[in-house]
Amino acid sequence: MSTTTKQLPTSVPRYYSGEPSQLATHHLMVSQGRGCTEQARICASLNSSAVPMTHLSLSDYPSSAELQRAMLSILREATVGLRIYLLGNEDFIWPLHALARVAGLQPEEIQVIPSASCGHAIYCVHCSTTQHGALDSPHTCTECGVVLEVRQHFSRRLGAYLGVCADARQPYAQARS
Amino acid sequence: MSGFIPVRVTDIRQVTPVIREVSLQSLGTALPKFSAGSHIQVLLPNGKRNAYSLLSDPLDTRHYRIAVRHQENSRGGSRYVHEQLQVGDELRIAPPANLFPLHNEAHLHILLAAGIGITPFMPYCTELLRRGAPFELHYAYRNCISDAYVAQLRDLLGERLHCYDSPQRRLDLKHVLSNRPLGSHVYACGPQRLLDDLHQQAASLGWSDSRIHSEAFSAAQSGQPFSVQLLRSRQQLNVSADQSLLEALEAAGVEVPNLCRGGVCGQCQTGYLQGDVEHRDHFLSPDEKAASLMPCVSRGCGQPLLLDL
Ligand code: FES
Repeated sequence: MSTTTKQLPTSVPRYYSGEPSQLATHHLMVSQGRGCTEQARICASLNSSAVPMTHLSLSDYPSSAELQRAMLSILREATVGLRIYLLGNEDFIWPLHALARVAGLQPEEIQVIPSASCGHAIYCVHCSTTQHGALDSPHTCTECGVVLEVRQHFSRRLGAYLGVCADARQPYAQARS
Repeated sequence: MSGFIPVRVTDIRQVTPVIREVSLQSLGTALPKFSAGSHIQVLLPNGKRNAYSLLSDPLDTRHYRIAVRHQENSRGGSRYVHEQLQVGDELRIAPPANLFPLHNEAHLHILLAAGIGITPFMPYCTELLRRGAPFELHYAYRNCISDAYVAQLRDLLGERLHCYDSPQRRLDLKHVLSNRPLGSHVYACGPQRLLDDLHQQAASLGWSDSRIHSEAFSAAQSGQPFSVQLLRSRQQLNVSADQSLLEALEAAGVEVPNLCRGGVCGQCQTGYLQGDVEHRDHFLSPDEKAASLMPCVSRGCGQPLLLDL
């Protein structure tokens, strides 16, 4: 067993380098936005590989549900050999990841490339709001105001880290006297 | 090792000129349930102990059935089954273990069997039919030699069965693996050559490793006699030509964990401090081979072995 990787709970996602798979017979990229440098770099490397590439971008669809439908119809017709690349915020990526798994893709056939710009998705367990922030400091919920400790637990269903009230003696936004 | 189950041979059937099917019934309570792809170890009266896939319906706890191919270079296990084993004989078996399970997430199961490698797929077919799961069986054999259960499978599977009667018709892996839907998984049981070809062909078609499941039916082969020293129990053992090192250790009362007895599962890994090893397993990496060996298949050669046991 390798001991070089830092031990994290298994629910915490491991991100890939973003290099296109050498084994693929077809690439599918699904992105939230257009034009970030990371995306341009991956697009360029996918386009330069010898196999066909399909790109779906949220900006071409009226809603993320429509985008998901489009992705599913591609996956239904796809054959073994496809590799998929998901770019965007964690709460954009992980529902797509779950759909891809259900459609029959193996974990190593899916690369996730989260956009670093707006931080990580944090889900406040008290008011059920997903928001963005840093993982290493307490986060004040933008909705209910509770100071959250962000746990080392990533929910793939929600596509977010769980934020739980940091101080059990102060479970509300304002201290009550 | 405790936990062996006493059984009686209730039926022996010559399925092909080289394959015998043996039915076993418990002498005590019901046999343990098993999952499709499981094997049992059978302890023969001549001291040989081999692993065989279970053929029978996983839900049948009254009988287990195995099929044994007569091996030309048998060390005594398959020869004993073919020449000496009789209905009514009592044997002991180790409870079933599964190193070759079905993957529930697969949407399409593609089964590849060569010769006696058909055995784990018999309960696979039973189970997949019961579940109503999509699957197909590609079966390569030699007509009238290793074509066990072909007629029965044809009745059971109809169009799902694809036969390759070698040498007239060859199993074309590229054809079998091309343009498969995303949820496909492939399972293969047969000689190492088939498994190597499968991995190579699948990789070139973009299949990732986690879609490929295989079981080699390699068992220990005989070799030159050699001797070993045991560091901690201070014993010296002689291993005869048709005995495996694992069998020699067991005969001397040294228990080493083991499951497949064919050099694939990794259970029996044992350290050694000195000596030359003829590595015959499919488990250890080249680096690990410098300090470990798999006594179920590998043997000493040249400088005498000193084992960390
Ligand atoms: S018992 Fe499985 S590798 Fe030796």
